[in-house]
Amino acid sequence: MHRFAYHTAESYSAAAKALAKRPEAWAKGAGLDLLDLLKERLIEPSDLVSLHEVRTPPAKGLLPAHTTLAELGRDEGLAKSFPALMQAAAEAATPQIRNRATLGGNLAQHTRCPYFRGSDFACYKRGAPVCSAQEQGAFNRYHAIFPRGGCASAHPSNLAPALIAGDAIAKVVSADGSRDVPVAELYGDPARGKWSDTTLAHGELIESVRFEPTPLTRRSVYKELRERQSFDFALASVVCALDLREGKVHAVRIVCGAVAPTPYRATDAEALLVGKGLDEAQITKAAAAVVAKATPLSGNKHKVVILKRLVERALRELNQ
Amino acid sequence: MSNEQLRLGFEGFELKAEANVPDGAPRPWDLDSKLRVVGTDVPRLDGEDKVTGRARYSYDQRFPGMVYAGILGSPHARARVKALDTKAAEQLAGVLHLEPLGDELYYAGQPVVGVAAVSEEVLDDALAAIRVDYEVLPHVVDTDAAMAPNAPQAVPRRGGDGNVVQGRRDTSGDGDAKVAAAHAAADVIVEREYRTQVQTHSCLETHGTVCRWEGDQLTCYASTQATFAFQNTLAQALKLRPQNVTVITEHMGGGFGSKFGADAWDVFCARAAKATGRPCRLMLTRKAEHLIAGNRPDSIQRCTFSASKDGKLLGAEVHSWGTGGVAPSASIANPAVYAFEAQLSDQHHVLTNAGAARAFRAPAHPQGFFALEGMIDEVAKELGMDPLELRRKNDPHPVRQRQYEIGAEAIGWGRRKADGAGEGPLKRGLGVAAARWKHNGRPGCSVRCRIGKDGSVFVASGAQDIGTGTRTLLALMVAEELGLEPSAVEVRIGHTTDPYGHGSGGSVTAPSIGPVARQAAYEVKGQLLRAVAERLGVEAGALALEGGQLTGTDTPLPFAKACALLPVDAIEATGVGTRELFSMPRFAPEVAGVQFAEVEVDVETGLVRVVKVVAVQDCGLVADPLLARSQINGAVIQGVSYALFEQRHLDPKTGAMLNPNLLDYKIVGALDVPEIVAIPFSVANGISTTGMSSLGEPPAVPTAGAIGNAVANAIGARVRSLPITPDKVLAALGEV
Amino acid sequence: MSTPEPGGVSRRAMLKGAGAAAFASVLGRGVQAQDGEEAPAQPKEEGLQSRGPEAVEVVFTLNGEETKLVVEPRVTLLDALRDRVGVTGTKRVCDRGACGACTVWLDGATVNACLLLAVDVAGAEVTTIEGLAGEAKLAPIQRAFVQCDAMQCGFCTSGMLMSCAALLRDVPRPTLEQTKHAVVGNLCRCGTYPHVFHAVQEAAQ
Repeated sequence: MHRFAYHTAESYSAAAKALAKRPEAWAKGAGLDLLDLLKERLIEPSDLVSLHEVRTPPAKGLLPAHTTLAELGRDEGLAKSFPALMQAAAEAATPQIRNRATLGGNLAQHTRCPYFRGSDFACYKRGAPVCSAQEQGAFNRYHAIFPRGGCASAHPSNLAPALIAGDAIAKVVSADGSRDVPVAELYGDPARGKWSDTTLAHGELIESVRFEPTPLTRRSVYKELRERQSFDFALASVVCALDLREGKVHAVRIVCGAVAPTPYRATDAEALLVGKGLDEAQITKAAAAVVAKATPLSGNKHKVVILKRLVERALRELNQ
Repeated sequence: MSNEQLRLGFEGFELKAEANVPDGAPRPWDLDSKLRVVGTDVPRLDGEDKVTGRARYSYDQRFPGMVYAGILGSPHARARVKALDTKAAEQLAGVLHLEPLGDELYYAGQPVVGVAAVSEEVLDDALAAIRVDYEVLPHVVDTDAAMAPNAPQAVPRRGGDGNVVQGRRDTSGDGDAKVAAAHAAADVIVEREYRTQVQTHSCLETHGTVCRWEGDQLTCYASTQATFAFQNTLAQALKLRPQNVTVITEHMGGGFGSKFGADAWDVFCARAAKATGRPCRLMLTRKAEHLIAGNRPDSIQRCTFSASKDGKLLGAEVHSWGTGGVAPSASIANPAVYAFEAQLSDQHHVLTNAGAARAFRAPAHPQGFFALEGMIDEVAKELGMDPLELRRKNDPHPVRQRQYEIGAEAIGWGRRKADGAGEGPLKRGLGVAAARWKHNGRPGCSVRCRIGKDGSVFVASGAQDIGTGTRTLLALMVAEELGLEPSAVEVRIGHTTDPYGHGSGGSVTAPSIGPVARQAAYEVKGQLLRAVAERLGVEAGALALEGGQLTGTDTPLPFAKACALLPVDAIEATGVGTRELFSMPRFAPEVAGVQFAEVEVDVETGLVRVVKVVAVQDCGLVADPLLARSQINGAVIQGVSYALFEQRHLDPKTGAMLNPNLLDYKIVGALDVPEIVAIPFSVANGISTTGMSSLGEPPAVPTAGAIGNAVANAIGARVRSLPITPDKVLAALGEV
Repeated sequence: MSTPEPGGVSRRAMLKGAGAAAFASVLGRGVQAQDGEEAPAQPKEEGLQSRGPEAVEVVFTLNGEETKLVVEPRVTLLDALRDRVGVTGTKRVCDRGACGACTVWLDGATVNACLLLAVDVAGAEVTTIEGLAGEAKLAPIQRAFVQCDAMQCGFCTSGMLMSCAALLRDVPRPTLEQTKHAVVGNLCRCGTYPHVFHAVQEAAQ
């Protein structure tokens, strides 16, 4: 790692102000994602603004951004109000990582794409003219089946799909104040030279996330498939949330992870299900609809099959 | 010399044999030997040091003023250094030494510059500050691409063009004609192509060393599995006599075949220590470890096996290609084990721009046996025969015949269903594969054993313990001879100032050093008994050491009291591994093993889970079943990892490695471990005075083969390439 | 075991006790210019403590003893422990949080020391393998590891033990599944996993 000046903030607003004063500085939570980028010398900011000591007081229905994945994974209340979120946190990574990884950091983390993470490679996100993963003969087994914006990276967050499915809202603070951003709108199209998948501007920080426990969130599930059952990022993941009333789908959410540069909400499949009964035939149709518009790469056609199966299993489980 | 009648073999299959035992050597251990500590579960002697953090590995050595060295590796698979600008790096405060290390570069990671600095941080800054102007040249990193007619020449070579180098060509009998004749006479002939991937050793402790000069005397705390090879190669490179170099390796964090002699970076570390006048530590980064510290070559094996309709294997023909990177080193152990009438193995090494291969636990075997065992199953399928039955019909090894029985019972082979049977989506399957290895105990080691007047027992070997338990083995041999508990024996290993022991490669250590340790203890025991007999005025022949005591006198004497009767402060013997000690009759020509695997495949997602592996493994006489089970577990787990997860991914465009870390390079973790039933199968094998044989590698041989066969049984389709990842399973099922 | 420096300050202790005023008084360590120049007076930024890039003092508790370090902010806890303080039981293997060989306890929770900046542990309690047994010679899990042969080369062992010990502290009678999940972040190349699982069962008795 290069040498940097280290600024520890007492509050999110102090951090936001410090970042506003330093256009080249990077924000740091626990720093698990950041340290990887620093050790590879992909970035060499002269200043880091650290949030690791910031604590916001607890409040009902509010998840501070500093909540760790371990805390989320043990949250008894969450197990009832939003099981998909709890499962996504509980199974992520390793105990050592969960003990420090934060909700905010998980939402803001960068892709695991090896062309992005390796200084030896040209990467569209890091400013190269082309996306190495989409080149002839490239290694893209783990990449997006819904590439867009010139990028084929897979979004790595377990929590983002869940929060999007739960219509969660993030409170984003900056030197100018704060604003509410639906978590779904935290993510935008990739672009050449745009390192982050979030729509946050420099100096904007996620302070907290809140969601309303609803029949949707209460009846939700997180499913993923990993090649290696020990620490591994998902080949594909999905969060399904289902509001079933009198045998008919009143509302449904299907949000996929690891299959696009940002979390992928399958609105076509959702529309197909709403207002009808949910049976095996509908489940199969919906799952097929999730992947109908997939444009897999040379090496990842299997992710289309796997995602379809995960959706089927998630809906089947929620239908019981 | 004296003649001894030995009873060799195992229960149900015994052999009487006559041994020529050299004078002064103990009676070789056989089925009649009543052993007290050998053959029991003895926890390893360095266990406490390892669980408390007290065990000092190479990079735990700290010295005042120590400097930290590292290397800048080439980012390119093939390049030439046009200009090197190290000014900025050299001017950084705390950068003490800098040297160019190479300018004609043939693989990513190849050392370009070496630097030594006062801290890891300054080292990192210095490496980042070096400016290299590379002329990037055409490269080839993919085996198939390297074999194509107009591929770039990966590395210059003598005696030929292109990247394909002819390797061994072994034929049995009259060669190609015999094999062709065998195929022609066959009722069934199966022709397939199998593939395996490049695997990196991924030792947890990376390569490197700590070097410290005192005058012209160099001490090296090396992470090595061959202290004397390291000593010799380092001395040679520095133009020193070996006596000027002392290697100390009391603990090391894994080698698996990749850590023998001193590497270029170790030599640089020694030079940096000399130039700076300070001790120097050089530890490879994890990325460099993946790139330049060795790997298991990949393979393409085109196999043609034939058989008669009654299940007699006839011809086996294997043409193989594999890349060992810039080294022509991609041998394949296929065909093997089964008694074919005629066999042909035609091997080729394919040069590519990647780090050179190194021996990796059972070199040539896991690759070869994945294909071999797959082919045997495919022949069985054509014959409509149970694959276990086909093996039993064609496997001449008496130990393995018994092991098949034991293993089949333990896994429940009778449960095996037809290929692809069941509703799904979870389908189970069973598979089997064989293990073989040579008896690799060999003469040449020495071990010193000293008994003090105070009753202390000290044994020393300059060889290393790579995690197999050599320390404990030495204590066991000595304890058995002296009638003591292993904890009463103090062991020092890993200092080249102590007697010579072979490098730990080929699974030679235990069978080579065990008899010599026993010999040393036997000789010094003789000295003790003779000294005590003289002192007490009795016949030495009447005395013995057993149960911690000296017996044969009126009242038994505790061992320490017997030692107190010595007329000198200490007595000592150095056991020497002579040819005669290793010339006992042998029971079986090779070490044998079998493994049975049970897998569960999710046919909707392609995910494979290994549920259970039964591993029945012969290693001659089992010295310590607890440690033997650890070895077997370890080999099986590496085999599962090789079968399902591991692969070095090189980007074709840049030739650089995409997964040079321990997250994207996937090795088995706690949630991937199957239930393992490790059955050390003790055989009184003769050969030496201990009857022990090789263990580290043999159980690594069959695992991937057994898993491949189990998957085929589960899903009714065959994946012929490793690793068996979900995409391949789905493709085999026609889902993708 | 520490680098003695006068006037060690526990910033976290101050934060806990005295609130914003005390926190503000710690500022002024500010960002110093390099090459020995005096930095121009920086306007104080409210709610921000600025340190480095030069070495700064870090005070924390290591295995029950107060320990002072003087390190640049970029130094990880792992490198600080091994190369400065000299406790080498914690190992460096992947340096990216994937293998768990560097597992230590931070205020009792297992963490990867390679992904933790040393400056971030100011005021905290760090426990390494050397401190696991406390006053005893061996903790029950350490004894069980030896008896069950839960180590081979031993390089993963320190991290493995920190994870197992944390599990047994929190779940006195863990199931096999719980054990596997507890050490899922500890990679072992020698394949000791089955004996590690067994050792946890033995220690839980």
